[in-house]
Amino acid sequence: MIDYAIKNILRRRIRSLMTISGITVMMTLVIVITGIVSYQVRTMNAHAAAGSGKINVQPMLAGMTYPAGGIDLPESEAAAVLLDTEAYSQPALCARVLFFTLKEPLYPNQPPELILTGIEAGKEESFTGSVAQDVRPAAGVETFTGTTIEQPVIVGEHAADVYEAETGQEINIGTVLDILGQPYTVAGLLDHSADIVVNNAVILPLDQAQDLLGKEGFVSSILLVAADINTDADILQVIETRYPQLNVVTDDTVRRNAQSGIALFEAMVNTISTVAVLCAAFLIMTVTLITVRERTREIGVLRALGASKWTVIGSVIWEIFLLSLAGSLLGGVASGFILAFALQENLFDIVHILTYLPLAILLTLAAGLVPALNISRILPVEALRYE
Amino acid sequence: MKTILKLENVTKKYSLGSTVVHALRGVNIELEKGKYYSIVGPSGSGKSTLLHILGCMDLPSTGEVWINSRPVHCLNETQLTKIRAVELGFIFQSFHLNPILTVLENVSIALQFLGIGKAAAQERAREWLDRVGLDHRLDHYPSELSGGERQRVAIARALVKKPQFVLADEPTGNLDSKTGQEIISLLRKINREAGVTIVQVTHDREIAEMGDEIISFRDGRILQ
Repeated sequence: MIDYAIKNILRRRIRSLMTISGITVMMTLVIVITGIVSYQVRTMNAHAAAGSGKINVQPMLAGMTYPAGGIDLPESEAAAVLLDTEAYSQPALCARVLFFTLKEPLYPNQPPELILTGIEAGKEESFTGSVAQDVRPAAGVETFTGTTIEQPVIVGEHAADVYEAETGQEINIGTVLDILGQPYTVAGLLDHSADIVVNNAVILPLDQAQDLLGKEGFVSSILLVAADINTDADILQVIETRYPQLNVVTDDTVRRNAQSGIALFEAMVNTISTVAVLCAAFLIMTVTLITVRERTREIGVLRALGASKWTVIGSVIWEIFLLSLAGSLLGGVASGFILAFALQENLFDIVHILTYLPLAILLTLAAGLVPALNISRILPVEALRYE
Repeated sequence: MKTILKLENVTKKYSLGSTVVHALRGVNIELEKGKYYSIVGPSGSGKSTLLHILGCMDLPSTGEVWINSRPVHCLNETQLTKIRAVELGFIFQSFHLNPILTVLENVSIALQFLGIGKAAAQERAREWLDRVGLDHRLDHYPSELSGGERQRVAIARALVKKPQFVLADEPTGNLDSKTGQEIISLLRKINREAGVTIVQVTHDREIAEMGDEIISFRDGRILQ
C-alpha cells in the first residue's frame, strides 16, 4: 500500500505540504534548542575537565567563577600566597594572573568570548597547560621568554577566529592586533585546547597587561598546581587559615558552579523542547484524525471491495511515516543549517541531529496509530453511510 | 439451478437514537446461480439492508445467511472480508470511485487486495475496461469522467476479480434514463456472457423488469 500512500500524499498536496511544514518547524525548534543546550553542557564539561589540577586563588569579592577579572588583588599579597604555599605546590607551574574581559560570552554561564590574560613571562604553561593537556603553539612561540618583539601577544585558537571574523584580516605570526587601542604583535598562535578559557585567551606579559589596564601592582588571581594529589588539602588549609579574604576555586568548584547555573536553563529549554515535540505529535494526530474522517467513506469502499483492516491501517501508517520522514528530514536539514551558519558559533553536530530523527518519526507514527486503528474498526456498511 | 445465496428467517434491527428500527423482519430467500435479480420497494423497505447482508458488509440480528452452502452469519470480520474480496462484486449508486486513483488503478486495486501483483492486476483491469468501452480513459481520474463512464468503471471494478455474484445498489440512481438503460444492458450482457449472478436494488420498475426475476419488498418483508 505504499504506492497508495504516496498517491494520497501527492494528490492531497496542500494538506501534505501543511503537515510536512508543521513537522519541519517543530523538529527544527527541538533540534536547535537541544543543540544549543547540548553545546553548553559539552563546553562546560570540557572547561571543567581541562582545568583539572589547577587551583585558582582570587579575592572573595570575585566570587567562585573562573576566570574572574575586575576585583584586584595586590601583587604583594599574591607573592605572599605563592611563598606560603610553595611547600605544597609546583612553583614552576604557579603564577600570578590578570584577567580582563574583552568580549562578553555568547551564551550564559560561559567564560568570556575574548579574555585578556596577563601572565608572568616563563609561567605561561601554568595557564595554558593542565593535567589533561599541555597546549603547544600552532605557530610561533608559547612563551614570552626570549622574544624580541616589543609588545608581543600569544593568541588562543578561538580568539584568533574571533579577530579574523571581526577584522576580516588573517591572523598570522607578526600580525598586529589592536588591543584596547594599543598595537600588539602576534608572537604565538596556540593549538586547540580542551579548556575553553585558553582557546578564548589573548595572552600578554603580566607587566604589559598591567600597564594597558592601568593596574600596576595588581593581579586578578594566583594559579597554583599542587605538588601531588595529597597536598591539595594543605594548600586549601593555608589559604583558609591565613587569607580569609581569598577564595579558592578548583575545577570541582567550576564544574559545580557551571552545573548549577545551567540546570535551570537546561530545565527551561527541555520543557520547551518537550512541548515542541508534543505539538508535533498532536499535529500529526489531528491531521491524521481529520484525514481519516474525511476519507471514511473512501475507506469504507476499500473495505467493501475486500481490503483488510491491516491493509487500511498499513496505508494510513505508510502515509504518516512518509509525511513525518519528509518533515523530520527537512527539520534536520533546516536545524543543521541554523546550528552551522545562523548562530554566531558553529554548533552543528550531525550525531545530535540523527538522534532526533528516529525519535520524531516514532513519535509521529505513534500519534497517527490511534486514528488509523479507530478507522480500521469501523464496519464497511457504517463507513459507506458516513456523511 | 444451483442455489448460490440463501437467507433463512433473517431479521435486522438497529437503533436510531432511542428508536429501534426493524429493517428486516424474517426474510427467506434463495438466489440461483447465473440469474439477474431485481429487488424493488419503497424507501425504507429494507432493500439496501438486505443487500448489505448479502454482501457480507453487515450481519443479521437473527437468522442464517448461506453463500455457496457456507454459513456466513457466524463468520468473523476477517473471514467476511475475504469473502468480499474473492466472491463478491459491488456497484454503488454514487459510484464510489477513489478520487486519487486513475481509472486503471481504481479497477486494478480490487485485484491487489487479493495479492495479485500490480502489473498482472493492471493487465486484467485493462481487459475489463476494454469490455466496458473505456480503454481510451485508462489514465483519467474519476473527476474527468461522465456519470455513465464512472458507473462503467465501477462495473469493471466489480467484475475484474471474476466474482460469483455482483450486488448493485441503485446502479442507475445517479444517471439519466438513457445512460441508465445502457448500464443495465451492459450488466445484462455480462450476466449472460460470464454467468455472473447479479442482484440489483432499484426504484425503477422499468429497470427492474430488465432482470430475470423481481423481488418486491415492503416494511422489511418480501411480498412475493
